[in-house]
Amino acid sequence: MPEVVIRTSGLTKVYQETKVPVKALGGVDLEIREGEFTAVVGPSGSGKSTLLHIIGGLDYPTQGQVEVGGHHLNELNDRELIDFRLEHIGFVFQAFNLIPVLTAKENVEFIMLLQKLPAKEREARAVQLLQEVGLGDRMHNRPSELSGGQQQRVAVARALASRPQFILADEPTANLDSKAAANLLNMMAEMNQREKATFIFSTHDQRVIEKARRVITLEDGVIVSDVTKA
Amino acid sequence: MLLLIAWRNIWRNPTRSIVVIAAIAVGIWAIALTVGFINSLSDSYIRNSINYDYSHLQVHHPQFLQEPEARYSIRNSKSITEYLQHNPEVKAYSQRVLINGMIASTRASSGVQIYGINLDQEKAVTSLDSLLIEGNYFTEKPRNAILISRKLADKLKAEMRTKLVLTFQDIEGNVTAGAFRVQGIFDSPSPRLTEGGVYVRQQDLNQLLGTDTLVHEIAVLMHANTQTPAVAQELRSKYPASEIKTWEELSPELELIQEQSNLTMAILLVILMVALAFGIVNTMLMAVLERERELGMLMAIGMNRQRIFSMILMETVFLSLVGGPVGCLLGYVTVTWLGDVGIDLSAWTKGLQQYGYSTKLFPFLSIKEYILMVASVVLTAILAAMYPSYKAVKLNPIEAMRS
Ligand SMILES: Nc1ncnc2c1ncn2[C@@H]1O[C@H](COP(=O)(O)OP(=O)(O)O)[C@@H](O)[C@H]1O
Ligand SMILES: [Mg+2]
Repeated sequence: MPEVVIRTSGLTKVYQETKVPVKALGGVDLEIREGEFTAVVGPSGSGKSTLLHIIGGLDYPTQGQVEVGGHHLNELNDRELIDFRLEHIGFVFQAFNLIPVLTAKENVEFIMLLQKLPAKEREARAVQLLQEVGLGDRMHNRPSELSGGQQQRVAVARALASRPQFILADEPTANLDSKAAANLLNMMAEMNQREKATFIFSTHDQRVIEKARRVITLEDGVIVSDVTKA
Repeated sequence: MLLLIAWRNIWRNPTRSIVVIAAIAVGIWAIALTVGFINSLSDSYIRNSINYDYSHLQVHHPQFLQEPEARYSIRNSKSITEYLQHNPEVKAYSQRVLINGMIASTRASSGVQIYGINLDQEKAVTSLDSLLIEGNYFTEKPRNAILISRKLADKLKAEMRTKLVLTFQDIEGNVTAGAFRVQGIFDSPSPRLTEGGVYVRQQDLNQLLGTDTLVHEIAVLMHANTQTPAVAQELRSKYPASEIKTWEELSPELELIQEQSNLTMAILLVILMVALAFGIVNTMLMAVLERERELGMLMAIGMNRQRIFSMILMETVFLSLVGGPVGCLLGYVTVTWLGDVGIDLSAWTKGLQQYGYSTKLFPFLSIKEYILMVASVVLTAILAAMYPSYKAVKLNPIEAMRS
């Protein structure tokens, strides 16, 4: 069995800032193993983003534990979390993933620069990854010159570039048409194989769900089903 | 790459950046002009004070400046003038007999300093002949001719050829008097001379004093001001029995002028810098708020706060580094041009001249002042960028990305 990279137990999140406290997660126990290609699905408001944010060290749970690669995220402070995210987690968001003033290649190199990798290595890896995600000919374009699907591919390449333990993608296809969405998922699946990268993505798009090998369904902040395809 | 990002970020909103750059440039330009103008004012004051009043150096009996009495005559004046004659740095000198006394017309009287001058020497040192607005420089033969200032003439209700009586003590302490006729009326840039200086031939004064051996003051004009301290030093060691003072030591108001212009400069600088700081805070705050989502994303993927902070700071520094030199160049061109053609203030000349300034001013700036200007602008920009940078750092990544 591959190693467990993420483990949560009794994960609860209550948003207190609102007039009426909102319980976004109601005790989530979860294990994600290396190499998984997992979808977190559920209707809007079911707690997908909240779960991914906590797993990704962007937010703290109200109760319960998160363990990523043996680190207890609850114990890290704000500053430590930023460094933790840089070294251990790759992110693909729904939109605004890229720095507008940098080219595709520079965007991919940027994360490795933050990691203080040497310039040669940054450059080589950025070029290689962009070719792998099918953007070998768009490396020197800025985000505004790329389509939505292409921008998301650059984001995936950047997430891979930092050699994270896993990649979190919160509704990466939400702003894409169905063809571009399918292409992006195929590419991610390919990267999952080729780069041995662990992917966890949320979606409520049925055709995207079909691509996943494991599907975790949330409803009102609790897991109602967890199915792994053979 | 942080530098690259910062640089490119500036050009994301070119209009705004250009406005800030222009504000910085205009700020520096305005400071350059003001400082250049203030410089020209104090410079003209100093020049006038040297050329028409104190000269570069003066020699007196050590007692004379405290108690200007006839008996405090310079010892060794012959030897001193000999030395001055042979010193190549010295352009000219003027020996004076200087007596405090009273001048009276039939209508009014006034306390004055009577200058008994050697005509050629005085002309060479203070250009007294060029200051005459009426009459002439002792070209007419009659004895007991006197030159008075326009102001004194008005006070005494005197005109050309009016007879005036000078009263003073001779070396024995006896009061003596002599009648003089106005042969010229002058208008000096020196407030001191305008107030109470009158000029007569040395021989005429000597006759009344009953001696021709007195020299109370030797004024020395140099070829270049830079030589003043050296020559003063040499005179001091050669003639310890006399008091040697440079124009800086002689003119008490000079320090005041200097202090005042420094103060004015500082106040202007602060006002401009505060205005600049507000502009920069505003602009950079806008730039931060506009990019909230992007900054949130950067923090989410692992860009730490110091890096975000320095990125915003760098953008501001770039703006001021572009604006600074542009402003300096503008300032340099304008100040140099004005320094060549001069600013003619003859419209306000009355007021200015009264205080010892020229009517035409030639602004200039020293390298030190250019550096100071750019440094204070860059420093202000950095300080002003602190708040927006702090705002950027305080963003919460999730909230920032949701907005
Ligand atoms: N910052 C917040 N403050 C208050 N309530 C929130 C906040 N974020 C999410 N919620 C609430 O938590 C619940 C789960 O939201 P979310 O995790 O975004 O669900 P999903 O991503 O599945 O749409 C929703 O009811 C949502 O309104
Ligand atoms: Mg969501």
